Amino acid sequence: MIRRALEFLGQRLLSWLSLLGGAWGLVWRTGYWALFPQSSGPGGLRRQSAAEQMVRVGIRAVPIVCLVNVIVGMILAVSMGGPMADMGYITAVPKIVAVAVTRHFAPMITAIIMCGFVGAAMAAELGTMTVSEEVLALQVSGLNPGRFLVVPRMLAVVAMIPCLTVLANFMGMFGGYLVGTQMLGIGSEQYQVLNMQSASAWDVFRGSFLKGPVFGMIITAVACHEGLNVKGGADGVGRATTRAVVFSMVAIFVADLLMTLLFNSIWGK
Amino acid sequence: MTSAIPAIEVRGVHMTFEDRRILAGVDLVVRPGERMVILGSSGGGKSTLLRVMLGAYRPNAGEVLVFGRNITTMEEEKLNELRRRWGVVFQGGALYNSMTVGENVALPLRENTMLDDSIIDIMVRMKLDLVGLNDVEDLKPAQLSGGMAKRVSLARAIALDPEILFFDEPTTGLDPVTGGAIMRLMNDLASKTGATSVIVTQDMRCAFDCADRIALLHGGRVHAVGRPEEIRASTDPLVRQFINGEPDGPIPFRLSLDNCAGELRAPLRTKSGRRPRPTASAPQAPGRDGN
Repeated sequence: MIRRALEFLGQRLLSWLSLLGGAWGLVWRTGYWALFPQSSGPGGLRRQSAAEQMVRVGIRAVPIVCLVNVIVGMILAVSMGGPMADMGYITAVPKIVAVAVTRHFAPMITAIIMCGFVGAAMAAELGTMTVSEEVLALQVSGLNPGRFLVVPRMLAVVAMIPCLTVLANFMGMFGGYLVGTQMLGIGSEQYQVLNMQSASAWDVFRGSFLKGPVFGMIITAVACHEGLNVKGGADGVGRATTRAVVFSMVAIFVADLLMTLLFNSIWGK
Repeated sequence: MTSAIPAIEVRGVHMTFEDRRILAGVDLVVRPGERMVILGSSGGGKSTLLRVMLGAYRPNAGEVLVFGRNITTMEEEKLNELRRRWGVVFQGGALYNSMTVGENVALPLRENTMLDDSIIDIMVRMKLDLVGLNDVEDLKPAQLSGGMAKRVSLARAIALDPEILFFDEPTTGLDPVTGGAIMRLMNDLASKTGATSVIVTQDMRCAFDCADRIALLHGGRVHAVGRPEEIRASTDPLVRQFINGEPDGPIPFRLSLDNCAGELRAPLRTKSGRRPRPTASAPQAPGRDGN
């Protein structure tokens, strides 16, 4: 029984390490292909495909990113409102919302939404292409599937996540504003002043333009690696999609923690 | 046509999937301009052999020479250059579903040449016309019938005027008339372009109509090779059973893991349902994500 449990855990660990290694390798190779697109053939960088992916990844995700971040901002304000009011610090709510949203929630919630919205779709799409021999057809035609399929997706996600995260910042703070002014009795002008005192452009920049691209790379690399390595038929695609989403989420949490520690050590709290 | 170097030479290729032997020392020579049909029963390993010849699988032992160059040890980038000299028609067409028919046929031209878009458009129409299709450029693969998808796949395969054409089960799943049309196209293209053809099939009609030579693969080895009339006149019990489609004979009626491994697409599982650990000899499909 214990042996079986250890075997199971060992197999899971090896499988995750293999995924981590594969995704990491894909990030490096994608970077190389993006910088030197002629290296794997004369086709060059597929700009049109990258633009199409940007629309799929970025524009179509705007409504869901806005909605979820408004709700997260509202949840933050509601959950902080009670304790702060009891302590007589109701005016701390706009500050708490501003700091929490800009430093953590906007980048992380956006990344998690993208995991489900983009990562799952990518893993399923590439997995289906693998199963239907489309990827094999690319490979044996001399077209590098990595350059052909992964680079446009990686560029699109890495470019669009920062934009979506900036939007998420405003939406999160707007959610807090709605609760603060409508439920907690803080004046509209007062809320905005307090909010602006704590929300710094530097925090927005760090969350959106430093954390965002890293999250984007994680989501794309994991999803593409899983999709391109699907084994079996439809059930294999399902398993790959699930693994892509679960692993990306865990990796995003870990990366967020590491980056927060790094930023704090470099720029202080 | 008269070149001394074989178009393809397979030398003692062994292939093992998770401890199960699929190819056990295949030797085969395909001459330039020849139409070689590889026949085989289920589990004979013919699809695996095709993938080895395409460089999608690296064999555990043996080598494959294409135009005299060993592709089994070749770097992926050099192999990609060589791959531009052949075209492949897959069983299901393997058309890129996110692209239109025109974009599918244009893809090899866009990715491998510096031709202007207007020239590529003309060439796409020419290639589609060669396979008997007109005004289908704007359709999506999902809108095509099986026969049309095969034709588009053929048009894409000949986009770069390849020297070798590989066909994986070109007539499987098609009605006799459509299958006959595909066979005529294959023969026409081979005679017009002088390209070498390698056709993997189980369809005896396709084999006898299209082949200059037939290789019968069984038990992971080439069991018999010869011209169609030689194969037809063969007294070998296995060849007789295969071409006559008899259920009883050297090819067993009952299938087990031992004699149908080549047909198993998913990784094998043991009786307990647990997937056996991959072995060091398990083949890899390199280059999927570019590695």
